[in-house]
Amino acid sequence: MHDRRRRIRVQARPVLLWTLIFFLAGHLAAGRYLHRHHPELFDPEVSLRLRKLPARLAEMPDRPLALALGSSRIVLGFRPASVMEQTSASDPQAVLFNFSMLGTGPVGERLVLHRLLQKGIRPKWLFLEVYSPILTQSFPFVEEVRTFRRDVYWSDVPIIDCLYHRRWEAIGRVIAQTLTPMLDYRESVLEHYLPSVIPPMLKQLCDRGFEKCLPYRLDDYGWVEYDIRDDGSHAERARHFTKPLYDHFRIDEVADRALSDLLAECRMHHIQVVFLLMPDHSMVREWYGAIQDKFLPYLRRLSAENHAPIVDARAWQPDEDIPDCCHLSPKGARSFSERFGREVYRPLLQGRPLPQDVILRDP
Amino acid sequence: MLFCSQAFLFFFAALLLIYWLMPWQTVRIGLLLVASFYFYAVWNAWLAVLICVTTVMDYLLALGMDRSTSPRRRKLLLAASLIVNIGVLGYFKYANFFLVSLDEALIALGAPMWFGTLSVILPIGISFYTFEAINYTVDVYRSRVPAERNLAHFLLFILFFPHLVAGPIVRARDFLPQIKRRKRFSWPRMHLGAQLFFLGLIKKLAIADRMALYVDPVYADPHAYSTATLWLAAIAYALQIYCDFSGYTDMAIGTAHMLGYKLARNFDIPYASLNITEFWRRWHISLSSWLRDYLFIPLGGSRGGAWRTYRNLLVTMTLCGLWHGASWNFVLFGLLHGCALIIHRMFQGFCASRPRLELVLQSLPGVLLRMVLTFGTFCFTLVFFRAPTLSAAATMLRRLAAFAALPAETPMPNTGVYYTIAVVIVCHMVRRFDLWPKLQVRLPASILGFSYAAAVTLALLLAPSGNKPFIYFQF
Repeated sequence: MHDRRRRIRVQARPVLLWTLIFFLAGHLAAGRYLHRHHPELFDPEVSLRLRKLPARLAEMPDRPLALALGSSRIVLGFRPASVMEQTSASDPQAVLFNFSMLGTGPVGERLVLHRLLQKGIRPKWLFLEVYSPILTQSFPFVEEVRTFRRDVYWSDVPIIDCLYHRRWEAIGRVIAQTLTPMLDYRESVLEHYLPSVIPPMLKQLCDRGFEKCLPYRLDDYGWVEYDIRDDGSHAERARHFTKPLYDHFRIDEVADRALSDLLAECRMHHIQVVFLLMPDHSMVREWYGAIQDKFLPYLRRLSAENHAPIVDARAWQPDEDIPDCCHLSPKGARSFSERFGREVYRPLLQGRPLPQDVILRDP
Repeated sequence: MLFCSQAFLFFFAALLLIYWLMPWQTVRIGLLLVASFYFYAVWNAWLAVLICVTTVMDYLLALGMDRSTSPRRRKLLLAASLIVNIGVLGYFKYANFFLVSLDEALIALGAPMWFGTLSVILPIGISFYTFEAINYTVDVYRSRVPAERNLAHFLLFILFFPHLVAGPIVRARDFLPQIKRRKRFSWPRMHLGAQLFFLGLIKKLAIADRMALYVDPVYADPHAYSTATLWLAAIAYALQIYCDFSGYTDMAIGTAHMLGYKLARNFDIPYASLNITEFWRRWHISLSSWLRDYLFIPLGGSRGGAWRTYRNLLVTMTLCGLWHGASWNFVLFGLLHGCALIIHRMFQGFCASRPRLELVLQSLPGVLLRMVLTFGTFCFTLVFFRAPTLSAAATMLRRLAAFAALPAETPMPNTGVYYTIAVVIVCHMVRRFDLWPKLQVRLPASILGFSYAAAVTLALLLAPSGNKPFIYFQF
């Protein structure tokens, strides 16, 4: 009995220290392994693109990079393959890649460009979508909330520190993800290694999710072929969620700062920016009346300050190509991208000015 | 703030560090008080103030009782304390239940009269701290404990965050002397506390919350599942509630140990009980012993013949059911347990004069049969505990007896429940034969450390997303 007590007394401290060591070391090692070999478990949108982009650049090492950045409207609506098909063999060539992500606006775009530059990937041209509802950073377009669901890294901390309201929470998340990455993404990890422990109903829900279909719907140039079914409720939903953002439009201070920082970084790295207003449903185009004196002058000012043309493609596609009043259908994406290739991309590569009819006209 | 949340871990790590760096006992008590108040106030600051107010009142009334020599005055002060404590509990927890029940009764009698309901939120843990306050004032009245002179000590007795929201229900005579004792940092105690905390974490996250994934869909729609699935869900709920509540208790006892305090044991392998009387000696021990000391015995206990004992058992257990929640389901849950206890008493009397039957019951098959029967009885009563309404419980029971083979779909693979049952049986056996302490001293520190880290990792990995609150928080 006495010996047992003595042993418990002697053992206590080393046991706790070993627990801490094994816990932290085990998680760091497992996290490192998973980040290296299965990054798609953490943030499929970024990691899958980060795998494809260097591969495309390696295939054509002497070509400059043209990058499209924006929200889900670009993810589904901008097809680089169709754009590039519009150039001829005699034209100067570039690698065009779509690095857009769901719900991404100025803050996300700033993060993506920062990450790419840190990895040594510097685009020559940047097609930057400007979607007015995201500039308000109001529900359901609060970028900060969306970013919390994604993987964030130590290298993102300077951006988070400048742009996030809940910066300490975000930095806490970076720390937690570094120390115990397996826990933050346990459902993805379990689904990969132990799928039987995921309840079938939850699995069905995950399987229907957008990110689940990414690995087989993302093409080599970052476009996602995804057909949004027209269930008849989209127009009503757009009126309910998006229209108020046009009616009470106000550019959020964080979005403005993120966009300014992004443009400053582009100037510093000699990246030519082209602003892009994606095709809109006719119903949505009517809502622009309410923001005529706020959004467009703001965009024009940025355009003038940065010598960045504004491609106005709002009326390029018929309504049937925009089934949910927001995103292009795969057919619409192809036809939009082809026209973009002919009227914007090709002149840009050739160093010609863009045709007047594609540029945003003065009021 | 849940014990198994990141927020709590940061809060507790910071508290532990500052607490043991403080050399002064008074400052440590103050720190624990502030931390306990914050722990509750994070959820609702006003209700944290309410607890403080009723606690100060109990403190003053007990002091008055202690100083008074007049039995009448002492009785009056005790009555005042009981009225306030039970009044607050009744207002927050039972007022709406009685109003709705009265409305329903009047409608049934053909004289509808709408009394309306009160717009109140139920303070978390109110049933637990009210019982702690009552045991203190009653014990002071009975002169079993002296009234506490130090207000900070008394506030800490009630507010101490490890037991504040879901017990164990601590007794003043056990806890108050601990506050006075000077604490010294001890690694073995930290080890014991961490061990209990890890055990609780595993029970809660890897078992209880995962069982909920099976149980919740079945109780939400019993018609969608086969009878076999329903039976498995009933067993899974027994595992869920045990691991949820005992997991919470283990974490509470563990955190208290790390701060140098010892809380009462609340569970002692209840599913190894051979009868329902033994079950209540092993399940929620702090509540059943409270009910025995402050309700069953004052009612007359086992004195005064069989029928009086039965009556006292029935009253005690019905109130025990009502303590759990303000609904007829809980009343029926308690009533059924009261009946089960009476039947067991009768059966004991029946066996006393039949030594052969007694021998059969003591044999291995007899022991196993009694264990299964006791567990089955508990599972049956839990249907009323888990179902949201009486009619839902009736539906569940009908479906349990319907022998419907289809549909064959289950909310989760059944193997998960089978493995969990096996794990719980093994853990019960390890505890019953006291194997862990023997094994623990033989293992090298590194192996023990590795096993703790692996077990905690596994629990955290298996935890379903989102923090599911502890079941007993609602009581």
